[in-house]
Amino acid sequence: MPAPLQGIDRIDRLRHPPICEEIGPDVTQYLPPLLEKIQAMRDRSIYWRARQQFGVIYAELARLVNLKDGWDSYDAVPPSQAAIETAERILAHLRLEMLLPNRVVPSAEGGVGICFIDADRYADIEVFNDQEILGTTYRGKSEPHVWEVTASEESIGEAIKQIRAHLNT
Amino acid sequence: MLESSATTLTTHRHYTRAPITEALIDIQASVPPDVMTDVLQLLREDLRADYPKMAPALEFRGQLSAGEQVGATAQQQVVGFVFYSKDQKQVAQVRRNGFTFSRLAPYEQWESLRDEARRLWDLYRLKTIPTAISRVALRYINQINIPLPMRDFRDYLRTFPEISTDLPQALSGFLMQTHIPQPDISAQLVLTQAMVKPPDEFTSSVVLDIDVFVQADLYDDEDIWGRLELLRDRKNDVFEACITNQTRRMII
Repeated sequence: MPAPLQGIDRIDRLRHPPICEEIGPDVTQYLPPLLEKIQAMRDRSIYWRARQQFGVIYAELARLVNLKDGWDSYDAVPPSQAAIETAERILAHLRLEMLLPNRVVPSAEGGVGICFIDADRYADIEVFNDQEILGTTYRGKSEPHVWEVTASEESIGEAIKQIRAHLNT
Repeated sequence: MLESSATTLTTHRHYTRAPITEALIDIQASVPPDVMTDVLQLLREDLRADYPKMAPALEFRGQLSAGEQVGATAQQQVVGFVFYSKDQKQVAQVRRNGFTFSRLAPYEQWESLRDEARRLWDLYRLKTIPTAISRVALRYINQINIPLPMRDFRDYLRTFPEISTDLPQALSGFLMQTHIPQPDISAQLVLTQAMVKPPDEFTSSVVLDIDVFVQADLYDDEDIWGRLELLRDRKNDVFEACITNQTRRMII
């Protein structure tokens, strides 16, 4: 005879009890110390922390792939595949140099912006869809310093050096 | 081909292209209850010349609750400060529960790491007057970049996850942590290995994170720094034991 409808939920619960009740406190008591240990292990290390933070930045970049025309509710075009790939190369440089950007954002002019903010100091590297790359630094309301960056390793390295110096001044 | 321990454990070599991405000395301490984080901030004056950039060290605590109502709470508090050198290659973290000094790539040598850590520790100790030292650790995080194509990770690493031969042997990722007691020096080894994002598409990268530490009540500086010398020797043994000659040829 089939189980009455109102009993199905109970039967299902008996068959699949909630796992946290099933394993009980004897096991779960070990979990918080373990998580704390892993957390502490990561927190002490600048390298592991930077890797985790760069993971977030890479995820921001990956999300840009899904943008459609007019993503800003006006006429902005999404970043091109080439711009995203160049931005990824720049991020690889930044990761090696352990210089963490604050945000990776789409550019309203079509492209990708890699932004750095430290108090009132701002810098970015903007990669446009036509593969032009510009570096920008400024402080507060001062005039921005803008320069052209090429896709070469040397030029990207030099831009990173300039941005680090600007943020640390 | 498997290598015998005799070929690896005999000498500690100096590698000109050592794959060290971070070397750190960590000392866990208890400070008197009246020593608050503003005391740690006073270190800024002592460190300003060599470590001009300071940022708060934050601790986050969060809680998720489920039931009739689902909720989440999060709190953050300042537990200390982080000081960065001009080139940001040296970082000192000072907290109410201890001190960490990191040297990022390019690594120079043990003596400079130890001496700078000791100089900064002395400043920390003077400001906070720790009542107890409960743990000292030495940790070297290596990122070994293996050129592709590669036949087998075992050509480069001697400690590696063992996969059943009944399973496919290709790996797209792994994370392995082993805790190995070191009773002869009253220490513990935590060895963490993981595949990480490589610098380019022609490379596969594995992190070899060697953390050796002593958890005990330590009473004076000689004890702390003497233990760290032992930990350094052990760390070198562990590194040599984990790599193959093929890796040595890459970094020599």
